[in-house]
Amino acid sequence: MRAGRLTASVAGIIALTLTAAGCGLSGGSSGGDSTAGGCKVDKGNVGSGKLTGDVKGQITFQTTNLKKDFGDFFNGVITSFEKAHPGAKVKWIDDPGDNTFTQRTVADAQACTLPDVINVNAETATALTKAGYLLDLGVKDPDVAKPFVPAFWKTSTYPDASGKAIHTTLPWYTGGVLLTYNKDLLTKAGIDPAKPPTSIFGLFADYEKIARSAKGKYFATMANPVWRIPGDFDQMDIRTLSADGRSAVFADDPRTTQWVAWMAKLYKEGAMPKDSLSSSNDPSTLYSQGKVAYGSTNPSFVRFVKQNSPTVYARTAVGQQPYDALGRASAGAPQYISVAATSKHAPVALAFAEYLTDAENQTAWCKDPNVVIFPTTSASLNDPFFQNVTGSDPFSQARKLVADQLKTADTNQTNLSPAVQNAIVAQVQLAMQGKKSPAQAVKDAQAKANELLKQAG
Amino acid sequence: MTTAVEKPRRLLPRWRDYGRPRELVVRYLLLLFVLGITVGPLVWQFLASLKGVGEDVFGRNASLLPHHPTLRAYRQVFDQVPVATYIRNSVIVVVLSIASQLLFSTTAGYMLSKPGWKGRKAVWVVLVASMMFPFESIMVSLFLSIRDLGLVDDLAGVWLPGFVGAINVLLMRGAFLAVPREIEDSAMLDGANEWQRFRHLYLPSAWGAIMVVTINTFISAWDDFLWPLIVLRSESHMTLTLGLSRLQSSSFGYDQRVVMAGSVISVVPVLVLFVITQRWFYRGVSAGAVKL
Amino acid sequence: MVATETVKPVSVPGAEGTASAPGTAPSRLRRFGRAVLPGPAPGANGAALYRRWWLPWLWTAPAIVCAVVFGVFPFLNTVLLSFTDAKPLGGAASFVGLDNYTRMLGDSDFWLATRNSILYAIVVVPLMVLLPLMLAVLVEKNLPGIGFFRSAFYTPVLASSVVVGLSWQWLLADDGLVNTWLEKAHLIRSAVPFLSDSWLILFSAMGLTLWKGLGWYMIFYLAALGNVPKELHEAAQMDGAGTVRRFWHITMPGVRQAMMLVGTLTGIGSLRVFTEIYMLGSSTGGPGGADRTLPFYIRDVGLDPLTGNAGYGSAVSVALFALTLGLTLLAQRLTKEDEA
Repeated sequence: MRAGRLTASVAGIIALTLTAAGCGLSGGSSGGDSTAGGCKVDKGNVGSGKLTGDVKGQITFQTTNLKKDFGDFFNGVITSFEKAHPGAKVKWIDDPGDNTFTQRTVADAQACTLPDVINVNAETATALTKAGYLLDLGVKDPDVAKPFVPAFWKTSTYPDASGKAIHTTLPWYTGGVLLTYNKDLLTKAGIDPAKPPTSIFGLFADYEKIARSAKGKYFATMANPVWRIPGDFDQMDIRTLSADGRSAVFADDPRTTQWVAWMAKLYKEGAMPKDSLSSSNDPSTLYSQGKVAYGSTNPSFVRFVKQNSPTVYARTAVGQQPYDALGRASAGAPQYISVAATSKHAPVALAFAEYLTDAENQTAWCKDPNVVIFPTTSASLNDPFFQNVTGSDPFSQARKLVADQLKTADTNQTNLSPAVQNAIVAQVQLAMQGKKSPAQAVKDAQAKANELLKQAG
Repeated sequence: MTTAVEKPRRLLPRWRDYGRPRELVVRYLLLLFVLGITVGPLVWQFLASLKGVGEDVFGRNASLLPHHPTLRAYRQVFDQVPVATYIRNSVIVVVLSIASQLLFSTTAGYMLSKPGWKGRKAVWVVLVASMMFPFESIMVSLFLSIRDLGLVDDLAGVWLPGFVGAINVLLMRGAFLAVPREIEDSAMLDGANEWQRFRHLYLPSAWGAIMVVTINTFISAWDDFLWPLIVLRSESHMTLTLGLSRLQSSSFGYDQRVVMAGSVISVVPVLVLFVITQRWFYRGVSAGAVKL
Repeated sequence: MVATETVKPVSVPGAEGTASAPGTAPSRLRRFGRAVLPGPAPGANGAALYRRWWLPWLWTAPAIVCAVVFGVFPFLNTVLLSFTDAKPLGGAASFVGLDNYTRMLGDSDFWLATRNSILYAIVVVPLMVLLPLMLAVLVEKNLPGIGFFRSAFYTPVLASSVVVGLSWQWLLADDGLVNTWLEKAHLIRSAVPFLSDSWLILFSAMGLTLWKGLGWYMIFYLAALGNVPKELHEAAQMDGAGTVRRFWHITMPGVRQAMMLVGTLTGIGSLRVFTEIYMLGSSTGGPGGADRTLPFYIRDVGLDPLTGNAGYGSAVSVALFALTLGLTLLAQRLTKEDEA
């Protein structure tokens, strides 16, 4: 008796929900209207026409973890924009920007609730452009490229669903890469702090020297390869992905295997703390305690040291990033500002995005004494603030070095999805533990990366 | 509670009444050992949050006690993020959750404990099944449902997907099953109808389980991080755990003491609530009146 | 979990008197005048209890709605997706039949993750069933100051993942507290790599789960222990049974139902572990990804915005569900045999 009733009831429930699920699966929009990635949008947001319309309406503006430090500045920008465009209102929200950022932004996009003006990184921009959720800025405003440094404007293109490269982002701020190190620990190892190495392997050789002089009391750097892939590969001009980005090719370059072999050697020799192999901790904490000789490559890290450990700050110096085979700094992609294709007030959003990233506002912001960030607009970079730097403290030094770097920097950054990056890093970790030979690790890493890239289509 | 010989009553219990001295010592030693394990890391966090700027937080040389204790980190927390707003939002979600959980899980649990209606087994199956799905795989579907209801960036959207917990229903069902049939029979003979029996007989006797459900709901609603992270957008709607996490992620470096201070702030209300309610709860347990 | 008759303890003089629930003194209920028709005991011979058939459904409706709309429905959606090659970002998805499942069965990473998840359950469940019970027995007795201890033991449950992650990393680091003490006690010569060896990371994660759960299940058991009549203990003590003996033969059988519930919940929870692995092993899931559990693997392979295959991820989710269901049923079968 019971069993029959049971199956009947359960079957009934399943049938009901399957029908409902089937409806859910077919997505939000019915055919005929303009769509962006499955959301119904205004006709003007998609297609090849210039964007027209009144600059009126309320939009949302989202930044990534900037409110804490720069609340006043952005409120000022918003107020002056609203003053210049009566009828336009900007609501500012700030996202913590943790490692689930891309996932959540994608969920937002799928739900058609992407903020109108959004601060994205290269990885998120890639995902959103492919699915069609971002406004094609190059088409919607033909003059949009004007203020930006050509190198940066070139990097702000991403492939759409059909593979065509379109401009869906405006370059915003960038940081550059630097070597930061503890002068005392370097001198003790026989390294001249004033002459930083010019190649990645040269840097590795320095790490080795530190390991030998430290005898286990402190370390050169952190072990987790996640901090260096694909950064080091880019700097060494090793191709990580094929030209169309659909397959991994780093195993074809013999230097990749050499790089892995170096990492394994350094780990074994104690140049890195053993427990940092699969840890997400960056060098900041250990560096502030004087336990690690080389700090983070983000120039603003120097401020962190200043705040948390004045004694170590006094011994900190900065040096130019090793240019290696690339011949210039691989500074990586800047932060971007994009406009959602699903925006209900696209003209306002576009106007605000352009206002935020124009030369004047970028210059004003980057002059904040607390950080070392740089603008991506040509007029700004020529500002004497960035060109003539005086002062010998690490902060000012950092600013000068990055300004130099940015004149010729390569802003092309290999975009690896987190899954692919983790797959490669995992294999390198195994090599570092001695569980695989470097050559085998590189081969397996490429195989696993290709497996994932294949299912990306 | 009756023993063969009545002992003369004493106003204050003597140590001897608690048991043999050696057993007492062993008990207390064990208690202290477990105390160290459970509370140790958290005490360390608290002490670290009081440390001054120059003192090391991690590392071998770091001392347990701060040399120059200061509330600077706490002031920074309040400076950097709107803690009062976060607390208010968390309280809203928690109150909603507790109310809906208690109301619906007691009624559902009661009905499930009663035999004699068709489909009872099916409902039980559905509830247990709903507990087994990993959150990661239903996350996006859940978000789409919430979006369709127009509840994105709304505290109600945070509350809704868990407004009745299957686990709580099962807990209450177990509690109600333990009520002896004779008591219910006598109540029925006295003329009490279903609702009256529920209110005056079953609910009071399942008090322990109710407390468990309340405390558990409070904690999971208060501590929830990933789901609010997905649903909420604007700062004025953020809950405490979500808002405090911003102290930790900063592209420009962060201060661990401030993070620790934030953690302490988020733990304190729960701790206070628990300390208050545990007195009632344990009183009930020790009197033998609570049956699970 | 099938409803069983409440286990009646051995009849002890005086027990009947204490078994009454509060507030049921006959005089209170006499206030309700309506007479009830005499007849067979409710539901005794399967007879329909409720004249208004919709009453049970009304009372259970909210629970059902919540479970279905926010639990079953999204999951069925996932099942449908598992037969497609949908992407996390949406867009066109085509049916691929059983391809995802065949791929899964041949995927070594999948089997590794499965092994980790099952291992997690095997180790954590027995410990989580027993340890909190022993703790509950320890704090049951009303010694002076016991209230403080009870609250204190509960605090790990209250701590957020951020807090716990930081503490445990500091504790288990090569120069952390645990290693320092072990070295001082001359038990080890060099630091134990809790955070860089795959096996140790896994066991540390299990420790973390246990640590967080002790207080919560302790309360659970405390409530259940109230069900065990004191008279039984006293009678056994008079017969000369020691503490351990009494624990095994009186306490444990008395809380058997609670133990089953704890076991089931812990088992289901163990298979869903993600945070602990992430906190101790970071984004790769331990060196070489060797510590990834099934939910971790689902995230890696199915939810990545660029290279994720939501269809494949859904297939693995379905496998996870099947595993959970299987283990639950197995546990049920085993405990039923116990009672028979």
